[in-house]
Amino acid sequence: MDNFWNQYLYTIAHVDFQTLWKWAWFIFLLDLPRYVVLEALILIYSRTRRILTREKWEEAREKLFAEMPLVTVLVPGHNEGKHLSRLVKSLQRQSYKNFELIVVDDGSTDETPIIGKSLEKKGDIDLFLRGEQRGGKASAANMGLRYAKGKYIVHLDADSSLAPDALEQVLTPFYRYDKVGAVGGNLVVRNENDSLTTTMQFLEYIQTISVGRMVVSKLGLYKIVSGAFGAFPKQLLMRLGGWDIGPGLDGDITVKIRKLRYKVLFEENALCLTHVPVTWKALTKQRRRWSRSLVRFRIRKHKDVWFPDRNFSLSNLLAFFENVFFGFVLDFMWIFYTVKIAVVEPQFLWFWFPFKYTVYLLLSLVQFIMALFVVNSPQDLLKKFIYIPLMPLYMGYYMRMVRTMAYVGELFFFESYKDVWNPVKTSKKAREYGM
Amino acid sequence: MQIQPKIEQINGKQFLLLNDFIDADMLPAGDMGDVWLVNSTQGSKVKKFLRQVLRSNDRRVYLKPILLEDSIRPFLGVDAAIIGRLSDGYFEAMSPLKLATLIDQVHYYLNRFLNPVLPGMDQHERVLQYIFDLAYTRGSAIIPLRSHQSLTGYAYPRIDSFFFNIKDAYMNSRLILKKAAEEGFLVRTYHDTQHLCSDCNSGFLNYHEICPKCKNHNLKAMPLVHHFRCAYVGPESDFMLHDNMVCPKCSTALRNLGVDYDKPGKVFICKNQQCNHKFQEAPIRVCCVDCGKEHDPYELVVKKVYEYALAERGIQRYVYGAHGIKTEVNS
Ligand SMILES: [Zn+2]
Ligand SMILES: [Zn+2]
Ligand SMILES: [Zn+2]
Repeated sequence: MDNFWNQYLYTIAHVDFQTLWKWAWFIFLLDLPRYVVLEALILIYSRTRRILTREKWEEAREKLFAEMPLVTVLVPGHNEGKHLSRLVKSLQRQSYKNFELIVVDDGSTDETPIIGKSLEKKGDIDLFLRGEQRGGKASAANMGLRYAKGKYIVHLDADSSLAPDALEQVLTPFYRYDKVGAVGGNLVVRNENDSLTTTMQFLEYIQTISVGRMVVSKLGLYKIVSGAFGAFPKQLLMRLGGWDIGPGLDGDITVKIRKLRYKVLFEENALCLTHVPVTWKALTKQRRRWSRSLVRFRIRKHKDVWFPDRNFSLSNLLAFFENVFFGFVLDFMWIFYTVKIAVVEPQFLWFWFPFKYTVYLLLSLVQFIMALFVVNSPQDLLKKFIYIPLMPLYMGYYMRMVRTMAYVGELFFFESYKDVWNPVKTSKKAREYGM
Repeated sequence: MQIQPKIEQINGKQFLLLNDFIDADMLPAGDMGDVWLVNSTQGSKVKKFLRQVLRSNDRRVYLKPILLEDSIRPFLGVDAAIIGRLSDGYFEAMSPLKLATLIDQVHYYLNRFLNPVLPGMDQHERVLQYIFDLAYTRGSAIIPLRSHQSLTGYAYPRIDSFFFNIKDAYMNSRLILKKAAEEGFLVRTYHDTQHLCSDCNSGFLNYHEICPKCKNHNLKAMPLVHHFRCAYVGPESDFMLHDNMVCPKCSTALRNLGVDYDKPGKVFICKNQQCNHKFQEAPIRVCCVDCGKEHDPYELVVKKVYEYALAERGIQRYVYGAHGIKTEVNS
């Protein structure tokens, strides 16, 4: 061990910057500037702006409460009945009261219909709709949308619960800015103490959602309003015909909204507590689904964003570019370089892995410190400090591997169309029509 | 008024034709003929006559084998089933051997009594005695009959005939049978379960699907259609375009149910203009056809309907016991 550290420190001290640059240029040129410098600057800018425009936000909030529009909380789900009573309770505590709750049961095979019907009878759910045959998440959301009466639709996952002011917070941006097409809420992991898997996701969500989305939103590049918690004007959703077949339907609808030149915003103060997968296996499955949708939607379905035509928008192109580049190209580059080093200069690997770990550990630390300024309860976040050394492994190796596998599977094998997350009947049609 | 009895001889048995008696609303004497044959086509009169027969205090009258002439069957209408139960059935269906056995059995049974006329008894005793006399000679059980001429939809035609309105008939028949079963004179077996009006015991109920908001029952049910390709879901009316089904979201025509679309459920629309509520789960309200009372389904009275057979203890009491049997007296 001593030997290793001696060797490591020796190499650091005598590192040949030319070699380092040759292999690690993208870390210095891309990762560090984007994740540290840019994020820090924008975070500071965004927080300052928020404080400076406090009065405007307060005005928007008053406008919202003066108009007090009916809002539809739309919760589609499959076999999610067990989460409903908790969700209902979190809705009853909302500071914004003028909403209706529509729950759509997408062909559940468990006790969901019984739970839903009894909550509807009690008046806790305003409308409980059930499709006897499963049709997929998009169809369930569309079924609810068809019967929604609200001016705004707040889309929620059944296994999430809202902070008491979350509805008010997620609606305020519609009154703060013009032509807002969607507002995404901030997701916080609710079951962070369930397992190491959920603890790592807790840290990841804070880093990529709470901080990351605030940054992309400020840059005008925010492109996935999460289905777990997002708000939309109903008229706009109706105009788009609602959601298309998933997976990744939340990202898809956001793109469609952006194409119509509406603003898509992230609201960090609208907090939604969400339940994340507890096992590595379940998490891997979930992330493969998410990653496949990058290929399916960014590269295939919405390929027009890449070409200048009459609907061309630079920010859409940049949003896609950012998404595809940092999620896709960099991952392949990373693998390419690692393999190349192993072939060309295998002895350099001795330095390469510890070096990269050191860099990304520092990066995680910086991000952790930034997050402390953003989150609601820094003390809860601080308790998870000891898990920071795992972050470079989680983000740099585990997530990368899962993502890359999914990209390959989707690019060459169209795996998303085989995912049982959608019923076969809809996947077949989606494939047929390139949806 | 005297009626000239018309008697026909068939297979060596004396058949008394009842036409004139039914017309005149009179009972023949108990010793006339071996078998009585109903040959009147006036259903309601026949029913009235047969009910009088079984209320007679003369065992020779109410135990007399009574058959229906086959040609009257088409004329009985709504009373056909009850008339069938109040008699021994159609002539055609009864083999000569079976008939001869029945006649002998009745004869033998009557012979055991000193006096064929029942002594004065209270009504419940009187009915039970009738039940045992009849079921014993016929070797039959007491089986409920589905009938819309009864209060609940089920009748015990012979027992109900002792009472003058369907309400009394319902209350008393059940009570007599229930008590007899409790005392061990009859054994009962399950036949059916009924839901009855909680006010009047009527079994004629109208079940409504109602709007959970305004209780209106003028609803329109509409199937939901899911277009697979674009994930649009809406009521069938959204897709209707001149006789064809076209998706309102992606404008493609819908062709094959199950291949490019399906119907995952239905939605009710309340037709009350002030309400217009849309919902999937319609609660049920139950309205009594007879008295108009509205119920939630759980408020209905649940009653079981039984078949009854003679128990040994009852036979000892009503056939061999209490009311004086010749053989016993003589021995
Ligand atoms: Zn109504
Ligand atoms: Zn369609
Ligand atoms: Zn009634």
